[in-house]
Parts: sequence; structure tokens; C-alpha cells
Amino acid sequence: MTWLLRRVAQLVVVVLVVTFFAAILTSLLPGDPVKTIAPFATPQDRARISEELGLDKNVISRYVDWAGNFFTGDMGTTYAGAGLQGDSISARVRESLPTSLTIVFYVQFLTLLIALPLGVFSAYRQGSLFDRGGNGMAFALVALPTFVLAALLKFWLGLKLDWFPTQGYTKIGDGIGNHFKSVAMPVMTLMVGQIAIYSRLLRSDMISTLQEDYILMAKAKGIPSRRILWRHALRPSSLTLLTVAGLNIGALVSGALIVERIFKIDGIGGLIYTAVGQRQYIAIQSYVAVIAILYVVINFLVDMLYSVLDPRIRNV
Amino acid sequence: MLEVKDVRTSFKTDRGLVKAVDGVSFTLERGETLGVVGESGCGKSVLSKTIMGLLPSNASRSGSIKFEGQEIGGPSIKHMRDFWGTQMSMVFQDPMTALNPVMKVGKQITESLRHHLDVSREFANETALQLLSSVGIPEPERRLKQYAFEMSGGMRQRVMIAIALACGPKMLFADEPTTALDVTVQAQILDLLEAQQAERFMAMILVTHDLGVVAGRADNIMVMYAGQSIEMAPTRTLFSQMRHPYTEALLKSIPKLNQASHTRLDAIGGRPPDLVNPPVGCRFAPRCPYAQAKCHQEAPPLMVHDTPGHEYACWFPVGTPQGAEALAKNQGSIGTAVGGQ
Amino acid sequence: MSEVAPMTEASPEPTQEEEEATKRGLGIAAWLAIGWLGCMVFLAVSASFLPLDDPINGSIRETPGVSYFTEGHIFGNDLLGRDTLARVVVGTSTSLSIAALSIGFGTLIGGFVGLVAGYVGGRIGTALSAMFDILLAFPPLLLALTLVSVLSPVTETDPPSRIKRMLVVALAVGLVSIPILARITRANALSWSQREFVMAAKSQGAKPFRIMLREVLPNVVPAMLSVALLGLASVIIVEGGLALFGLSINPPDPSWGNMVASQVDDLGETPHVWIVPSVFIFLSVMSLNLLGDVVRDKFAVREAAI
Ligand SMILES: Nc1ncnc2c1ncn2[C@@H]1O[C@H](COP(=O)(O)OP(=O)(O)O)[C@@H](O)[C@H]1O
Ligand code: SF4
Ligand SMILES: [Mg+2]
Repeated sequence: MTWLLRRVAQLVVVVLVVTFFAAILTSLLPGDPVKTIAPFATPQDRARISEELGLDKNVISRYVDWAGNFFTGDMGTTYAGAGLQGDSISARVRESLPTSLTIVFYVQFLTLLIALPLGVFSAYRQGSLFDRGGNGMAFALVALPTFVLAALLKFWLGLKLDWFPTQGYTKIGDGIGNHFKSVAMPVMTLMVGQIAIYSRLLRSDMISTLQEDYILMAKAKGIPSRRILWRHALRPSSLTLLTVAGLNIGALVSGALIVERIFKIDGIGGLIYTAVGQRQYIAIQSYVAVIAILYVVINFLVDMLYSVLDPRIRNV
Repeated sequence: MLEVKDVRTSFKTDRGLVKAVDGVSFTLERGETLGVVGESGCGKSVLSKTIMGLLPSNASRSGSIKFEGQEIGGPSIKHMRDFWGTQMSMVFQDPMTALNPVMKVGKQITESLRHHLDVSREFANETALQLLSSVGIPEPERRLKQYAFEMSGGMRQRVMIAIALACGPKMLFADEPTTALDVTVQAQILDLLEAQQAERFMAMILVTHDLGVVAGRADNIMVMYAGQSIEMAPTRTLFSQMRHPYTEALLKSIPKLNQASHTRLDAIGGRPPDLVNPPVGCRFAPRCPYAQAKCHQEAPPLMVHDTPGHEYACWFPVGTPQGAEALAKNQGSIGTAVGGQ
Repeated sequence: MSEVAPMTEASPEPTQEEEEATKRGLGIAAWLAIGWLGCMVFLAVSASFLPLDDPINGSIRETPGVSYFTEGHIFGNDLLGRDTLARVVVGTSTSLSIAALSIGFGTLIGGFVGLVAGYVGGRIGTALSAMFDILLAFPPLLLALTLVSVLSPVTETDPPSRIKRMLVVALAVGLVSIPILARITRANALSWSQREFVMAAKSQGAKPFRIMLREVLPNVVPAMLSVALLGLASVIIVEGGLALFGLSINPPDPSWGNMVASQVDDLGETPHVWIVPSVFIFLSVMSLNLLGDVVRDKFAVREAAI
């Protein structure tokens, strides 16, 4: 239990540091931040914004104020070009985040569903035609950037074959069929590279696990190969995979930004696209904080899962 | 029950063909224990794995292995799976690496029960409990739910023995079962193996680099050197009238109580020969204190000499007039003995 | 493969592969990769001397939107009558310049910080490495987006020149690549710093900075080179991502990413306009990845945890 407490404490520290960086992002800008945030504002507006953002206080108390608001769900508002107060950023995030998370969830789930058997089987038949073919294909697929793949799928499956809508997102409540159709291409785009990475990673760890004594021992017990692969070898081989999956969340978020942009989906990527286009720095700052927190929390969960998979870790 | 005839196993490697086992024959009956003794690297493990049919794919073997009259150890995994666990099983050298680190030990015992005997989960658990207590593990209920890393070395080895015994095999391989353990628990584990073997009337092959380990426990002893069997005899005979200079050297190197268990053959210097290109004559000749010119030219055959059931391969056996003469000759002129190397 | 036991097969697989990699020559794939990248560098360098059409202003005399292999336009042209070949060649020079500048910058800074963190070790090393981890918590594209938009705010009255914008993009992406390069360099520097010859140099009283540059750095270079090659590939990809958000160099100036991005909402109209640069991107990224792997295998580079 002390172990868990220590991990939670670490999580809290990292979240604080990460949000601190995110929160002071705008004050890192060269020149007067207010001028950057609302370039065409009147002097009165500037004074108001400066006060709202607490620019007159020191960095620490500014962060404390910001964090107090942020963690109670108030991420501030957007500023129009003339310094006018706009919409609530929190409301936008609440609207868009579930969409992005849904897509990312589908991607991770399907990736594992496909990559695990691929990795296990190529390790088992190491050096076979299947294995070498998989290797070559994975190499090529990793080199295909998300935006190129997204464009290809949109062009081919969307425009030429007309299988899926080329843009927009349908909520699951508004029709399951349409929902899946609307996420099909974004999910496929993001899956391909991940499958290539995960299956190769699992393969190489699996190959070294299969040389362990305990695999020979399981074999000497007369356990069938299939059970040896899935019950004895997979679990100890999946630890690197898990670590990389956690670290890969960052890449997945980048990918999500791109597919949401290309398939015109109002997820957090879409929000960022708009915010960047309008130079909404306060909004960008909050989005960065949200994503960084997600990343840190997911990696924390991965660590937890790690200790479920490997009992040895619980005791160190 | 087990009949091994002229078995040879070699590995394809970058350096060439490693002849790890090079013509070994013996028979073993139910209820008997055969001790296989030799320096590390002489092919003991490869021999066990050959008989078990657990060789990696870069290995090839010839000769015949018959288990209850049936040819085994062939290349088919399917065929061997009928033997693994239920007919023959194996206790590995290092219980730390041979137990799955992320699977509860209870599961590792019950899974072969469930798979081979098709019994219910409850029954398998019950049997596992009994097994654990029969191998001398206290609090078996608690141990079933533990992982290997939570146990001491001796406990782990007991667990491994329980796993090996789970499906009631007729033959048990114990490949250096105590090498990785503390000196204090070594004897306990060996006694346990001996007791289980007697109780279940199994055939057992006890592999070790230490003649002391098999001294009171094996019915017969086979001494191996460089992939070959060089002396084989009933245990009592071997100790009372050993003939091979290598066996003699092994006996001299039995660790005394106050020494570490891994003492090498310091009675004689040198290293075992290269298994890719073994020497032409007697393979032990470069290190043998008895070696004469003949030994370097002609390999001595393994055969029965005076006592029935006692085979050895040597031109100048220990305890014979020829041997004494050869030794005297070498000791008289130490220069030649060293020069012979 | 025999039926025996595919599971226990291939005893020391990775070392065997490594050995083979060191023994073997480069292999045909690596030479093809070098060849392709050589062509790209040639195009990038000579873009302004080659007899190409105007990549920015289309000509009214041309039929707009013709497809591949039209006379005078091997890769066709776009709806404004701009030759795709000319644009993709100029785009090559833009994209490669951005990649080279940013990775050069990232390697210099990241390599130095990583070397110090790895060699000095102790508290400082741990602190630095914790900082890399935190920086890595920000998705790279998001960080690059934020940095570019911060570094070239709307307050600028006239649109920035192509060169200036290129520098801004390269700086932003370079900053993003620092923690990645630092991390790998640190991992390698750490393992080399414990070698005997470094210890020996230390015990002879050599200055730390000197040991770092003379003894540790040369051994860490293969790792840095390998990561830098992979990094070049990622920058090409990130540039495309920035372009999608309108934050790479300003249109109508072409870059590979820009050419694809300009078409994503209209993929069906003139597909060759985005397919051609896509192929350039794909082949270049694959070549760089391949060479990165080759360097890693040849020098048996120690990989960091990732
Ligand atoms: N998979 C393998 N590939 C190549 N050589 C091997 C392999 N396994 C064992 N050997 C070689 O066979 C010889 C005998 O090994 P082993 O039977 O393990 O010795 P020990 O008597 O110590 O158990 C050694 O020289 C070893 O190098
Ligand atoms: S044959 Fe010669 S070399 Fe071999 S063991 Fe006997 S005496 Fe020694
Ligand atoms: Mg052995």
C-alpha cells in the first residue's frame, strides 16, 4: 500500500509540474503577453485582461490561482481579437473531449486485438515467410505519416468507393451504424502504424521469452504450444509493449489532432485547430494542460497495469 | 524400461558441428536410479534433453531411445506430448529461471493436472495441496497463492519437484537439482527426491557434476567425459574399484564440507576438449596423469573387463598393474608427463 | 524449418543478428535508401538552378489541373496552372532545410545536455532526466503547434519572409526534439561513462569536460546519429502536421507538407497534386528510418527504455 501511495504522490507532483509549464506558457512569450493574447484591444481592455490573468502577481501565486480555477472546472474564456471576452473554454472541452477519447479508445482496443496475435504468431514462427513479410510490411507502414494515410483513405474509401462519410462525427446515441461509419476511417488511420509498432515489439520480446527455462519447463510438462504461448509467454513479454503503449499516447494525441483536422471532427484536435487559427492562447494553454494531464494519468494507469502483469514489481 | 543405444546429438553452430553427446548407451529399469556424473560442459544436460525430446531445432540426433519398448525422442512434438508430464518429467537445475515468474505456483501445478488428467478445478487444487505437503512444504494453502520470487531457493526447488511429480510420471530426470541451492538445503532436496522415487517406484536419472551427490543414492553410475560415457558400474563397484583415471580425478574433487560446492577439477589441470574437433585418441589423454603414447593415438573402447556390469574405456586403468606402471613412468619423469599435454 | 520445436529455436537471436549486421555490407535496401536521399539532397540544393517552371505563379497559357505525364508536366499541374514537379522540387528544398536545421539544432542542444546528464550522473543527471520525461509528456505536434504560433504571432504586420518562417518552424520543431535526443544521448553516455578507459582517464586526473569530449562523446556519436536520422524522418512528418494547421511555411510557398495540406479538403479534384509529394515523403521517411536502423545495428547502439 505504501507503494501505491508513493506512486500517487508522484502522480500529483508530475501533474503539478506539467500544468505549471502549461499555465505559464503564455508568459513565456516574448514581449507583452496581453498584446499577444488580444493584439487589437484598447488600453482599458488590456488592463482588464492583465488583471484577469493575474499578470501583475508573481508566477507562483498566479499558478495557484490558475490551478484553483482549472481544477474546479473553470478554464477561463476565449478572447476575441479586440480583447472581448468570449465563450467558456471548459464548456468546449466538455463537449469535445469525449469524442477524442472515444476515437482513441477504439484505436487502442482494436490495435491490441490485432497486434497481439500477429506478434505472438510471428515470434512462434520466427523467420518464416509470414514473419519476414510482416517485418517488411511493418517497416513500410511505420514510414507512412498519419496525414498521408488519412488522405489516402479519405480519397479511396471515402471519395472513390463511397463506403464511409468523408467528414463529421456521429455520436453513438444518434445511430450506432452511422457512429461506426463516421469513426471508421479516423480509427483505421491511427491503427495502422500502431499495429505495426506493437506487433514487432511484442515479437522481439516474445522471442527472448521463448528461450527462457520456464518455457522449456512448461513444454516438458506436456502443455500444448498454444497454451504455452498465450498463458506462459505472453504476459512476461508484454511489459515493454505496455511501457511503449503508455509513452505512445503522446504520438496518438498528435495523430488524433491530424485525423480530426482531416476528417473534420469536433474533438479536442478540432478545438486546437480553431484556437491556433484564432491565436486563442488562453484556450491553447488549457488544452495543453488537459492533454498533458491525460498523458500523465494514462501512464500512471499503465504503471498500475504493469504491476498487475508482473507481481514482482508490487514488492519493490 | 528405458533403453538408450548409441545416442549421438550434435548442434549446428557457426564454429561447426558441436558433438555434444557422442555415442552413449545404457538401460534403466523402473525403481532404479542412474547417476550421470561429469564436469560441466560434458553433455549431461544435452543427454537428458535428448532423451526427453526437448532439443532445440539446430540439433540433430541419431541412435535409438526406447521407452517401454516404444521408440521416442523423435522430431514430432505431438508424439512426445503423450510422454511429457505423464510418462517422464524433469526437474531443472535452477528453480528461479525454470518457474514462471508471473504465474502463481499453484497454477503451475494444477495446469498440467487439468490438462493431462482432465480433472475439475477443485480436484486439481486438492491434489496440488497434497503434492505440496508431500514435498515437505509447510502451509501449502498459502504457498499455492504465492509467486516463485516470494519463496526461498529450497522451497522453489520443492515446488518444481511437485510440478514434475504432479501427473505421476514413471521416469524422472533431475538435472543438477541442487547446484543452484545453498549447501544446507542440498541434502534435503536430494533426500526428498530419493524418497519420492522409492515411494512412487519411478526410474530416476540424477545428473550432477559431483560424485558425492550420487554416492549413496544411485544404483548405477555413468561417468561422462566430452560427450562420451567412459565408465559405468553399480555404485558400490565404482567406488570400490574405479578404473578410469577421470573417475579418480572426479572423486578427488568431491567438495569437502569446508569448501565451496563449485570446486573445479583441481586434482588435474586443463580444460575439457573442444567438442567440434575432439582429440583423436583417448579424449582425456591431454589431462590424464596415466597417459602414454598409445592413448594419444588410439581411442580405448568402452567394454566390460574383469567384473560383470562394470564397463570402462581406458588403456591403463587405475588399480591395475598396467596403470601403476604407466603412472610410475610419468611420475618418474614429470617432464614427459607435462610434455605429453 | 523443422517440425521439432519452433519455440525453443534460435538460441541467441539478437546477438547473431547484430553480428551479421556488422559483418555484412550495407545491403541493397540501404544503398537504395542512400541513393534516394542523395537525389533528394541534390534536388534541394539545385532547386533554384534547375530549368523548372515558376512554382508560385501559374501561367495563364497552361490548361490548369492536367494529370500525370502531360507534355511539359510530368507530374501534371494544379488548378492554378502551377507545375507539380516544380513545386515538389522547391518543396523538397524547404522540407529538407527545415528538417536539417531543426535536427541540427536539437542534436547540438539535446546532445550536450544529454551528455552532461549522463556523464555527471548523480542528482543533476536524475533531475535533468526527470525534466526530459516531463517535456516528453507533451505531444510533440501539439508542442510544435503551440511554439510556432507563439513564435510568429499575428501582431506581425507583413507576412514573414519564407526564410524567416522556415527558421521559426525549424526552431520550434528543434525545441521539441531536444528531450528525445537528450534522453538517448544520456542513456548511452551513462553506459559509456562506466567503462574502464573512462575510469582510467578519471583516475589520471583528466578534466571532466575533456573526458566528456574526448572519451565519451566519440562513443555516443553513433547513437546520436541513429536517433538524428530517425529524427529527420519525424521532422518531415511533423512539418506535414504543422502544414495541416496552417503553421508550416506560408502558402503559396511550397513544402511537401503544404502541398498535401492544401488539398486535404479537396482530395478528388487533382489527386496528383497531393499524391506526388506524399510519395516523396513516404520514400524519404522510409529511407531515413532504414538508415537509422542500419547505424544502430552496425554500432550495436544501446537503446534507451523506449
Ligand atoms: N543449443 C546448443 N547449441 C550449441 N551447442 C550447445 C547447445 N546446447 C549445448 N551445447 C553444447 O553442448 C555441450 C554440452 O552441454 P551441456 O549438456 O549443457 O553440459 P553439462 O554437462 O554441463 O550439462 C557444451 O559444450 C555446450 O556448449
Ligand atoms: S586411455 Fe590413457 S589417457 Fe585415456 S584415460 Fe586411460 S590412461 Fe588416461
Ligand atoms: Mg547442465
